[in-house]
Amino acid sequence: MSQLLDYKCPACGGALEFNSAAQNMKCPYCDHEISVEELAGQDEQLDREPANAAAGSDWTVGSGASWSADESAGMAVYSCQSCGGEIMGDQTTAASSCPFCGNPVVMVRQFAGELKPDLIIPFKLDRKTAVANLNKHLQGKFLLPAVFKAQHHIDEVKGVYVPFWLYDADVAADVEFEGTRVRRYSDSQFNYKETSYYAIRRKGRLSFERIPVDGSTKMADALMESIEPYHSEDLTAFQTPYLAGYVADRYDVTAEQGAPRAHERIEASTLQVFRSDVSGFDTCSVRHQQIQLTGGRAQYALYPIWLLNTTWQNQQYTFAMNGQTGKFVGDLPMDRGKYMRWLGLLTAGLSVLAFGLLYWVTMR
Amino acid sequence: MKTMKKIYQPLLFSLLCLTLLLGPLTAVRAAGSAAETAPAAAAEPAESLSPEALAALTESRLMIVDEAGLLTTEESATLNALLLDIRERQQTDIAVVIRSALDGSTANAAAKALYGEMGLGYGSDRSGILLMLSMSDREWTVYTHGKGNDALPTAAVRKLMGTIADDLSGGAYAAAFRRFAEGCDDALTAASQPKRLPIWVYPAAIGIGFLIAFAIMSGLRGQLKSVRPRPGAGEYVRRDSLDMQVRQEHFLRTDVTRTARPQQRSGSSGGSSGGGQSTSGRF
Repeated sequence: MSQLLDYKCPACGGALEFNSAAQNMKCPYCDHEISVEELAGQDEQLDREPANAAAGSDWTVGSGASWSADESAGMAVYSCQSCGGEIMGDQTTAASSCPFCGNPVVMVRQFAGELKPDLIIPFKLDRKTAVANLNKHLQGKFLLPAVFKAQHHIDEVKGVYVPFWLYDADVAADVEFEGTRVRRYSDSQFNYKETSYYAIRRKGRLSFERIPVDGSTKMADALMESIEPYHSEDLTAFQTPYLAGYVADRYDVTAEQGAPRAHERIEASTLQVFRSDVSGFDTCSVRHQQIQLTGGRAQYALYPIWLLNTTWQNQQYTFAMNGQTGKFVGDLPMDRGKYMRWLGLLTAGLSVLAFGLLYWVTMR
Repeated sequence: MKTMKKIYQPLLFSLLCLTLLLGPLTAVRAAGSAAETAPAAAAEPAESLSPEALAALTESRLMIVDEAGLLTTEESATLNALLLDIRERQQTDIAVVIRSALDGSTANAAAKALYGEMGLGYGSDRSGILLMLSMSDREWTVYTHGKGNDALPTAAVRKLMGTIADDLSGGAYAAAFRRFAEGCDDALTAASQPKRLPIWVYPAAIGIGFLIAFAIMSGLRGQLKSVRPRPGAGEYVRRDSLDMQVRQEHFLRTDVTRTARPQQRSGSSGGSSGGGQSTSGRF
């Protein structure tokens, strides 16, 4: 079978893409639409392929004298079915586009056998929304260099299906808190502060579902967590047509490797939920905790993310937008000169005000 | 270096502003104080009082009323002379009234009423200080008005009465009243002097200004950072999955700490500028 899969328009032969607005496959040339389900049959054969099937004759891993063994180990070269051009990617590239003809292609081998995702959230928002949200993200930032908005250059806007592990777990927790209640009263001679200490125990069960943990080492974990949450109502069974027109990676972080991060977040939220069940105390702190996870389950899913790279003053800034909710994040540069100027001016102004206040207090 | 210069320049500017602001303010205050005292001193200079005039004033103006008979005639006369001397120098009436009982009214109300009935108060602002003792209740009340308010705020009254408490309790009334009069004299003198601004005000003002400015700028800087890990997974808790099986709360212990309250009772009436103010306590 072929390693690359592209979906041809039955009307004009153009390459079909998944359209986030129509939630269908759509030809960008003639606007012909086909449902994802109609095209899904093309993938059925993949499911019968063994996961470790040897590389076919129609794709080669880059090698030769010009590449070292380490370099070639991380690379893969694919042939475009539409124009025959070579598409270079790495071992985790799962969907891309041909640099010569722009044909969207899916490296189906990356989804064969155990590598096939269980679920996917199809893109709900398009490229225009991503660019618009970037501009919105730049609004109202006082310390953002004024020239950044004008001078920054969007190098790349790409829709990426990022591999995530979704963890389900049941939690049995037994948490002991120390709580205090403070009462103040007075008699004719003294003011009293009475602090009563209590041992508080909460024991119970709690379930978490579909906690996402980034399954790709290419993506910064903090960036991926910043655009959460994702809503599971849009999750659907994975079908390769959804990938057409987007970039996709397969996971290179296993479910076992991602589990500790899920555990951390589960523990933190369990304590938070149990703490919120305690009321009527002035302070409450954890003294002892026992949190056990049972029924753990991980599913492989692809989540939609728009990545935008911009360059300003030879430095690259990466922004990410949740392709489902539109939540947009990305750290921005700071105008240091403006920061220092305003720090100085505010210090001067507020010092004069503080001086006036202190003068009034001490001299009245 | 350039960055440091950017910081120091505004700070130096603020120091300059503070210095420029301080000079006129201090000068205005000193001039104000001089203006307050100069006309009265010109009208009735203390130095012009002869012993004969003082004796005449003693006869004509009674600044001490002793219903309980605690003082001898000689002690009363001496104390009265002292109070009149202070009156002329400070342009403030100081009176001592010793009453056997208060006839049902509160000490503060009685002191205020007495101040009016006796016609106390020097000048247009009716400056004065009245110490009233109620022997049946063993209670003292100090009523101040005008400059007396400025010289003896509540805390100062308590401090002054603390210095004569032992004499009052021990029955050394003449000594107690003399010390009270001298204390009032000192307080009035101190209040008429232009105040000096404490040196710590300058660095404190700059420190406060910098801290607030830094907090504001940190908030603005925080707008630029939106990438941060999520500590929890609260959004992914399965709905209605919380099953709390045990809810226990056991009392462990109680700690009580106590701090002493001020021993004297106090009350007040009116404001400290136009009206009078009274403070009372027991001896």
